[in-house]
This record gives sequence, structure tokens and C-alpha cells, in this order.
Amino acid sequence: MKDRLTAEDSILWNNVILGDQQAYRELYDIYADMLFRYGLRYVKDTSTIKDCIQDLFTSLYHHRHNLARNVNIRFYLLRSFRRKIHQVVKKNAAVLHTASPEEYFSIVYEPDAEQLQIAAEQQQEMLRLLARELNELPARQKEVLFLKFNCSLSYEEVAGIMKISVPTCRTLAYRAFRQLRSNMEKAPLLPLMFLLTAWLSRQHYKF
Amino acid sequence: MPDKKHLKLEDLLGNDHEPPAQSDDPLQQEMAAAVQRMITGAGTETWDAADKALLWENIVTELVPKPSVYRYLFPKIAAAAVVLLTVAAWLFWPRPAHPLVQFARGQHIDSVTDTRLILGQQSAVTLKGKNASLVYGGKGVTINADSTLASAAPYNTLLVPYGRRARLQLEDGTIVQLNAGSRLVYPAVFRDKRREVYLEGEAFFEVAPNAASPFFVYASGIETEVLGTSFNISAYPDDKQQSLVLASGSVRTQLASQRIFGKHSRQLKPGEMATVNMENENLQVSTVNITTYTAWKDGRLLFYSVPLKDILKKLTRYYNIQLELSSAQPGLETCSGDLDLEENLENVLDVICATNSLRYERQGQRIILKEKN
Repeated sequence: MKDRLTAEDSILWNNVILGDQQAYRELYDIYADMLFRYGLRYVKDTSTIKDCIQDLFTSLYHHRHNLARNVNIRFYLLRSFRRKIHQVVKKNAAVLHTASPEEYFSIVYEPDAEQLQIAAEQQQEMLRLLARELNELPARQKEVLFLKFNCSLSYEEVAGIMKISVPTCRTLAYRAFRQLRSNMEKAPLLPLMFLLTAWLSRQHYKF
Repeated sequence: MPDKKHLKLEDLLGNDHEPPAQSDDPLQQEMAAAVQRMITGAGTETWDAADKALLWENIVTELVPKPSVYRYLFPKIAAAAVVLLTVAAWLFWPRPAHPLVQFARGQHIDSVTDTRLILGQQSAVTLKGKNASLVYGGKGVTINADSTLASAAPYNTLLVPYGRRARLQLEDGTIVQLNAGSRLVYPAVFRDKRREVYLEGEAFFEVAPNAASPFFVYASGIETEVLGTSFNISAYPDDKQQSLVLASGSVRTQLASQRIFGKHSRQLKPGEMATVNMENENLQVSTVNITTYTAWKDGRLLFYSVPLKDILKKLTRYYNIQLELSSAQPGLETCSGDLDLEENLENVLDVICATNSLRYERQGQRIILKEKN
């Protein structure tokens, strides 16, 4: 993967370090939605998420003199944000004596409504099966997939955010996909895969 | 890498620094696409734009340069630290003894047979007679009411050997009566805000009142702040116990080992005695009969339920002759009485022996008290 720290990002981040308010505005416009969605994976209460976002941006500003240069902004923001969210989750969970904050990562996979509409009945079944299998995955695997695909991060960055080693991170993703594949192949609907394939390839080339 | 035809879904994940592999197997290829689509399609909630803008309005108010909390607090923290350190240092630093106490402790004392006045470090004046008297005034010190001596040295020392006593009037009018075997260190003229003297042995003080200049008596085990008053201090280095008996007025007393007048200091009322046990450094206060402790200055020895060996110790000092009990006698039996010390020693010993079924024998420089056969 190429170096994703673009010149544009670099300038933006330098201005953030300099304390330029416009840079913070830009940073917020670009990344706040992603943080908001990531926050929803852990807490349903949006005001808590917004508190964390506000906290993140203000502490970023007040500690700007200590910020590292040449960082992947997305990575940096997600990592700091996850820490703050985890603190909140931990605080809420302390009363319930439950597992570590990571276990709270939740995401619901479902077939796209539009896809379902145009798909044949068997294909619809295939998509539902796929969604069900994805939803069965453990929370940690889901988080790796989310950070990797939804937030476009490298394994190295995902590992850095989740505080795990890079091989562990890669194994989590690999295991998720292998589980998906083997369960899909075991399904009685396997013959229909070819139909699905034909349909998906049509869809695929449209994009 | 396996044949492209046999690449499975999990093989298509790719690595950080290379593009994801493409399987030739259309099933795997399309499954990969489907999985990826479903993953990226999930968790894509939209955040209401107005709500997002509102949050920015909150954030932007906090993005103003404000003085750093630490920079703002630093002078206060620093000041607090300095105050704390100063207080701690003042409390716990081994503080050098007062100059007068330092001087007194460093003094080298030859054993003397006559009362002696030492001016400063060297020059000494021998005072004849059993009861020497010294009066300090503007011109110097008048000895035994005839010769006057200029006393230029800052600290004077009066040494009273066993068998002698002395009466001293200090420059401020305070009268000190020193018992046998005592040493008093004092300034010829009180120049400081505090009037300070150092005592070893026993003395009865009648301190001239002066509210502007408190009077302090330092002894090895007991320190006393005097507020215009009369009292007796007994602080012999060879006694296990040092004591102060207040006759009148008010004093505050504490252990000499105590750094400051604090919770271990006690203010005494007349008739009270503060005792310091030199072994466990314990300060205790009890009510006593004052005369018992001050009678010596009038040439009498009063005692009530006092162990015999303690009485003999006092007589040894007073008459300057070694008085001993034969080894069979532990000397712990107590006795009470009123001895006239103006009598010669034989008469005093006759009284003691008569009341304790003892007899005494002179053995050179010692007198041994033995059980009657």
C-alpha cells in the first residue's frame, strides 16, 4: 500500500499543530462523521459520542504542542477516540461487572434493501445467509473488519488502534473470512452460489 | 503463493504493502466482492448535519488560546512548595544549639574545691567561703559585697563545688541560689530579647519580671520558659531524673530534646513539679509540697518518703564527702525527716543512723553506713 500521508493531510496536520482554528474546522468536517459512526459501534447514546468527539477535539487543541508530526490523521484520531470511548464504556460497565470494552463492539450486517429488491429469491437467501454468518463473527473480528474496510486502515494501523500485534490483527481478519467461506460452502444453498455469482459480477462491474 | 485458480476468500484479503490478490475462481472472486460490499455497507449511519454543526459550535468555544493551567498554577505551586519545605526544614533540620548552650556544653571544667567564677574562657576568680555571693550591676560584678570586677566576657560561668553554695544576682535583678555541685552559665549583661541561662545541678530562681524579655533556663534534660516567677530546678547530670518545682508565678517547661514549644510542653501552676525521666524522656507533672524542694537554700533538707540512697547523694553534694551504704544495704527503704544542714555532718549522720538502725564509719575520704550489729 502506498504512503497514504498526502501532502494535503500533511499541511492540514501542521496547521492543527500550529493551532489554526480553520484547520480544526476542516479536521472536524472531514473526520467527525467517521468518528460518530465508530462511536455508535460502542454506545447507542449519541450524546455520549458527541461528548467524546468534543473532548477529543478540545484536548487535541490544548495538547497540540505535544502532537507528533507526520502521522496518519485518520489513524491518530481513531486511536484517541477509541481510548475515550473505552473509558466511558468501562465506567458504565464497572457497575455490571462485565467483560472488557472490546466486547461491546457491535455492528449489524444486513443485505442492502435495494439489492434484495432486484435479486432473485434464491439470491436473496444467499445474501441473508451471508449477513447472518457475518453477524455471527466475534466482536474483535468485526472491529478489525470495520477498521480495515470501513475506515480504510492498514493492518498495522488497525493493530495500533486495537493494541494488538500486526500478525494477530491479520489472523483475526483471515479467520473471519475463512469462517465465512467454510460456512457458506457448507450451506445447502451452495449450488445457488453460481447464480449469485452471475448476479454479483453484473453488480460488481457496474461500479 | 497458491495457484490463482485456487485462491480462497481469505487469501483475497491482501497485505498492507501489496494489492489484494485476485482469484481466477469466479465464485471466490464474487464472494469476496459480496462480503466486502456487505461489510462496508454496515455501520454507515448518517449524522444529522445540523446536529454535527451544533457540536462544532460547542467545540469552537473551547478552541481559544487560554493560559496553560500549569503555567497559571506554577507560581502558586512553587510558593506552596517553598513554604512547605521551609516549615519542614525548620521542624526537622537538626538545629544547632543556642550559642549559650553550645558554649556551656563545650566548656572544659576542672574539678574545683572552691567556688569559682570564670569570665569567658580563661580568667577565673576563686571565691572563698561556703556561701559566696555575687551581684551583677552596671559596673561589673561585686563579689562577697566587697571587691568589684569588670566582666567584659560575654558569658560568665559560676562553678559551685560540692560542699559549697552560692547566691547570685544577675544583671536584670534575677536572683539565683545555686546548690552544691552546680554550674550556671549566663551573660554578664542580657542584651538579647531573651534572657537565657544554662544550668547544671540545682538552683532556685527568682526571676525579675520583664514581659518584653522572657527568661529561659536550659538544662540538659529540661528547658523552661519563665514568665516572672520563682522556682527550683534540679538537673544534676548524675541523676536519673531532672525536675522543676514552681514556687510562684508561671513557667512553661519542656524536654530539652523537643525542638519547639509544642504539645510536649507544659505550663505549670505554683506547687506543681515537672519531672523529666532522663531514660525514657518522659515529662510528667505532679503536685508537690514546695518547701521540700526549696528548703536547701535555707540550709535545710526536707524529705518525705525518699529512698535513703537519694538522701545520701544530696548530703554527699552538700558536705562534699563520699557517703556510701555497705553493700548489704540496697538503700531503697524510704525515710522522712527534716535535717538542719547548718549542723556539722556528724550530727546529721547521727540522726540518720538513729532512725535507720545504722552506724557509720569513716574510711579515709569516705564514710560508710553499716547495719548495726
